[in-house]
Amino acid sequence: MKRILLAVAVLFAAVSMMAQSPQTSYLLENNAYGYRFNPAFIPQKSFVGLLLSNLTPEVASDIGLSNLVFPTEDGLVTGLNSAVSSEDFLGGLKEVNSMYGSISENLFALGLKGKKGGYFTLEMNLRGEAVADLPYEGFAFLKDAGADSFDLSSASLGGSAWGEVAFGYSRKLGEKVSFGFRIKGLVGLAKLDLDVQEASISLSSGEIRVNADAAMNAACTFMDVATKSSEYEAGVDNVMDFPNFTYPIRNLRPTGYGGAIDLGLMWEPVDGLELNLALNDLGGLAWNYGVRGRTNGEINYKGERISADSEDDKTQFGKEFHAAIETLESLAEFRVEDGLGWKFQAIPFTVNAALRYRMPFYKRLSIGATGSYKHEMTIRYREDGMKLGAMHGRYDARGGFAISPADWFSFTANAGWSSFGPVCGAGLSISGGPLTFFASVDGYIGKIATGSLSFAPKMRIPYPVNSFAYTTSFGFDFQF
Amino acid sequence: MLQNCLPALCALCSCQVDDRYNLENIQNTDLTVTLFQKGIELPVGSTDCLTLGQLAAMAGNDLSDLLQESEDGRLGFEYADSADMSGELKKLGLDKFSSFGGVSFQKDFTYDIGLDASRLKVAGSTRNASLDLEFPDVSLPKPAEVTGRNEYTITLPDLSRMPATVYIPLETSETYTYTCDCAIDPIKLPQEISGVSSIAFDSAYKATVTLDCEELSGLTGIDVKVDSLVVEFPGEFVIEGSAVMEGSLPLKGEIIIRKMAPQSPISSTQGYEGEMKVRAKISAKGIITKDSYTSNELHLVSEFRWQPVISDYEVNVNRVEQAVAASQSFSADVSGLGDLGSCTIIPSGKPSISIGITKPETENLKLRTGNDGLSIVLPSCMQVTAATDIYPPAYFDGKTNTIRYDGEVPDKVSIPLNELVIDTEKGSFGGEIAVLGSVVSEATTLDKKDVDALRNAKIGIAVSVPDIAAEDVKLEGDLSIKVDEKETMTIFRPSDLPAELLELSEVSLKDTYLNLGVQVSGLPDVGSKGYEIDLVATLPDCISPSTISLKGKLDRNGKFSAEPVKVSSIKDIKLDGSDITGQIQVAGTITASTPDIDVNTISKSVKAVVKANIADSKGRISIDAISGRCNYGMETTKSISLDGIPDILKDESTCLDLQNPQLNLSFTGNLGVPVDGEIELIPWKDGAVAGNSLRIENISLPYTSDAGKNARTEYKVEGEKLAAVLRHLPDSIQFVVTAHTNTEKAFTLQPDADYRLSVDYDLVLPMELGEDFSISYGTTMDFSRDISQVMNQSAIGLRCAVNNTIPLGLDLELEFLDADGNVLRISEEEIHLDIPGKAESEEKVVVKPVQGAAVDAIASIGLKFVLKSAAAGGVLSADDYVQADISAFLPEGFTFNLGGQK
Repeated sequence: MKRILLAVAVLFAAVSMMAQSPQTSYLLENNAYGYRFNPAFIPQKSFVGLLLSNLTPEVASDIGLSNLVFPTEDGLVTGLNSAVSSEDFLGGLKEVNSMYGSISENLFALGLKGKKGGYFTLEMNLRGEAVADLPYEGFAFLKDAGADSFDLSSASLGGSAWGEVAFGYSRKLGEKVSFGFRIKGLVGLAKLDLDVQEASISLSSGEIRVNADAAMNAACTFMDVATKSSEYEAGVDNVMDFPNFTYPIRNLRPTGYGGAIDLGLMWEPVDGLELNLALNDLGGLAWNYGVRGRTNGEINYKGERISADSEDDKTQFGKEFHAAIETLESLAEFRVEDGLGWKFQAIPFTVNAALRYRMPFYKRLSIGATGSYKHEMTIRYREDGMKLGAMHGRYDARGGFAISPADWFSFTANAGWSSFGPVCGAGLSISGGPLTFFASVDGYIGKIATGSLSFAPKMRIPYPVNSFAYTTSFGFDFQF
Repeated sequence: MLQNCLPALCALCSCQVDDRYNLENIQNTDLTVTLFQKGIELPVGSTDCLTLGQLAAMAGNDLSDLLQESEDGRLGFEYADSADMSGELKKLGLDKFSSFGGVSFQKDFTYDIGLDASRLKVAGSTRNASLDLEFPDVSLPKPAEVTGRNEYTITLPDLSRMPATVYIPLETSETYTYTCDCAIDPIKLPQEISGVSSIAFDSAYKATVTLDCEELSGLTGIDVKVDSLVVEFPGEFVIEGSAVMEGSLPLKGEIIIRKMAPQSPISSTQGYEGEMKVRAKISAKGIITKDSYTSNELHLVSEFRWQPVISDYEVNVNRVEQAVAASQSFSADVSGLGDLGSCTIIPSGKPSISIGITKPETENLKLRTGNDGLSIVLPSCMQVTAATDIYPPAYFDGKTNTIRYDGEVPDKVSIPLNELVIDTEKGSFGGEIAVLGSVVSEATTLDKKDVDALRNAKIGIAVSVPDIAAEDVKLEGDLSIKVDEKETMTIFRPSDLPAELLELSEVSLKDTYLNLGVQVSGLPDVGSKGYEIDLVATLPDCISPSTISLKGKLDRNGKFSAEPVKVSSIKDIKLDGSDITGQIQVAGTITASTPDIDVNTISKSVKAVVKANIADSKGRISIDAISGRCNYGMETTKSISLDGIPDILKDESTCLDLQNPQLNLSFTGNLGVPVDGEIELIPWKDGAVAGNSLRIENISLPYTSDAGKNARTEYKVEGEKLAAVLRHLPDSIQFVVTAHTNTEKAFTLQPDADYRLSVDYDLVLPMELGEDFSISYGTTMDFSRDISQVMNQSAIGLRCAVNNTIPLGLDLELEFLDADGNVLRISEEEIHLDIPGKAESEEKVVVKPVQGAAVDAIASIGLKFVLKSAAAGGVLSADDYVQADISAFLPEGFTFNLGGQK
């Protein structure tokens, strides 16, 4: 447990160190990748980037250390310690506590100014994301079991990776308006979803009812599924043996295909004022789910039924209980089923809006505000193949400024509020000849703690204490 | 530089550094967690609505096998078993009755068969017989009284208003008449009598006629006279003297009525009706004054009264014919014949048989023979000389030895005898003389005297045979020796029988035979024909069969042996300490068929030896069955184990305080001896007598006359003494049987039978509870490892929601035991649940280990159940049930350390 806590702390520290975000970088001058925020954005120069041209990791969590461990007079204790009241432990948790991570790695980027004022972009990216949802009622059940029933069906775990080839075009429409779009071709590489379609615990003095129906669907060509026999049901030998899964990368093949489009509009109603509106990643992939594992069970434990025809053997006493425990344990066994086959799933789309106003008295200084709403649609498939959808939305709104005291340097900072709480961000870009380096970070505002790692005992690594969200973006490109 | 920059960079995004969450503190996080810290409850189990029977079945120990439901749904324990007491019967010593000593008899008899005519004499005698003659009887009914009455008034002048005395002359005369009915109803008469032609009346009972006037006593000066008073009778009546009278008042006259002869005889259909008329003329003459009378009316009253009494009558009798069938046995002792069976005697002189016939006759009735005549039938032993010697003469039929008369019935018949045939097979000389035929009386008139004389009349027959001496004797038929001997034989001696026997009603014998034989010597030689023997041996009545036939031919040596006869039984033997004897009789004849032999040469003395033996092949009398009365005593004990009753009911702490226990004893056996006595039931527990005993008196063991069938006697024991014995069930019950045979009842024994005796006992304990009723039951449950793991960390509780309709409360006590069974002190307080009877309740118990409690030493949990009566008088019913929802709960949650240490 302590290792888990420690790992969480290190992860948070690493994320916080590298954090940068499009919201913040969008306001930077010399930022060639502004079209990612708004496809209507027209960089000032042509550019080319390779491998390290743009790396954008993102991590967010509804719960932090303060939700898991609590300081007492005797030191830190877990939230499940009796010294921590239910109100203190559960009060800081949301109904669904999500942990989200994504990464976008640009392999190649090219931006060319057209002869008629248009601007063309071409990108090749590797993108991935992972999400985990932990329901509040799971914690409530463990803490005090104070309610009659607990619904854990909002728990989920998923991840996907895909390649992206994007072609973009933007140009001005007159003096005041610009528009742009990007068309993306998507190639799925791997996808894994763990969907808990139904999970509930019901408690009463006379009955305990546990109902669970979860499925793991994978679209991954380089994952060899190992199976074993069930420990709880005779004759069943198709239980997924996760520890013995192998991942021969040589078998990597496309496992999904799709496309997406980004649309953007920029309007400069008055001189110095830009208004941006964009809709990005509107599309999705059809994944070929070739692997499916499912667990489905129900426990309805009413205690031992003691009737006149019960066998008079006290070794039979507890038979029902042990059967219930076995059923509960068997829920960890995922039985191999036929894969779902081709299923379409949208990728998270984003709606971005921004405002920038260049100070008339000093054009190198601008203020602005950005707003972003990222919509993630989680697709689940029921046993009969019916598609279920769950909507997750995160917003982020902030205001800031940007200053470019020289052509080779630009700096921006902002602050605001997001789904994860207060956020702030900062970014800079430095140009040296054709080479431009940029970095930005959007992150958490709140308490932090520090610690050192064994391999770097003198390094104090900060990490958030409360819920957090970090996005960072940085890279090198050549502008010309 | 980097290490300083990172916090600074973070500081850009953060507001505060909280050192409480630094890595060092996290590494030292106390990983003790308490799940479900507000407590969690887990269902342990729910029971069905468990009836007592089902609970008993679940409790095991065969308790449910004892639980019974009565017709009205009430419950009770019932324990039934049986015990074999056949071995106890050996003490009766019944093998004494297997056999007795054999019976033997031998006797010599001597017969005189020599004949001498001079010694032969037939003693004369007279025999009388009578034959009822059914003559019709007449019984006339008593005649009704004949009466008549009349009143007449003479009115005088009314002088009451005359101022003074006046004298008035009076002269008047009046005549009045009245009649009296005189009738005789039809008289039921026998059909032989056609009617009553006349009836004579007793003259002592006269008819009276009176005439009077009451007022005459106060009247003076007037002379009232009856000028004439005449009674007129119907012409059928005959009176004596005159029926006319006259005179002063009061007038009374008497008339003697002798007879009446109706014109048509009075019969069953014809009666008589007539009337008598009284006519009177009265005159009054004189002077009356005011003072000479008290009334101006004179009331005259006349009465006629006659109570006839019949003194004689005449009846007309039709012709009557009656059958005559009278017989008279006749026998006469013949002396001098010896033991020879038959011969013919030629009488000396001419003796005659005299038959006198007495006839019921009157002057008006004479008897004659009827159409069939009147016959006298003589026995064959009397041979008549010739018909002409019979007086009065009659027709004689020599073939039938019959004499017939027609016409007059003779008063006396004399029949001379020619020969007398003596046949000892038919007894002594004699036979039956019969008078057969019919007699007739012609139609006539009989008066009362005749009728009375013929009433109960009989025809008398007197047969007289004179003394007859033999002039000669002949042996014309068989030479027959008459055997008729009676002797006493000894059947048993007292030493042959068991002393306990009081009476022997019947002894059925097995393979026992009567061997009977005769050895005759001294018989005359009759050639090759030899002698036939035809004897009947009559054994004492107590031996069955009692009559044995010996019929066959004597061998050359005069010996005859009868086929052995199986003797089935010996009956009705009175035992009084003396020899048991009976009479044996041998009777019959030894005959040589028409031998050619001179009777005068026959030796006088013939000797016969009769031998009888009753025994089986071993010379003993083997007994198949014996019945009678005997006198035995027996005392024996039998211990009956109650192992079949579960220990739970015999536990020391169990108290079966039940209000109406019953013990049903059923003895089954095939013993043929009636045994009465008493049984004492002594409870035993742990090798010693436990509590008071219970005595059951007036017990009769079953007995049956057929050992192949079982008999049964049943007894029900109940009451407070039994309840006291059963309050704490013993390990066993000792039956002490003190018994003796019933000398008033007969026993029947079959010595070869396998006599058995068993007792079925049925202990019925209706669940009608007393206030002290309780049943304890203890057991252990070995799931302590799980329990101890939990209790090491947390308190644990148990909750029971119980709906109990049974009038029994349950006190459940839990103890934690170590591996050696020692009780561990785990919690501060005793752990028990007290579930009330007939109530819905929720009980809860929490076990919170005390500091330092040896929870890890818990090896098992001891459970002690005590079922207690909720209230005296409670009745357990099959419908009563208990239903419980049981759950376990951790009141403070479950605490453990994720790091393995607390």
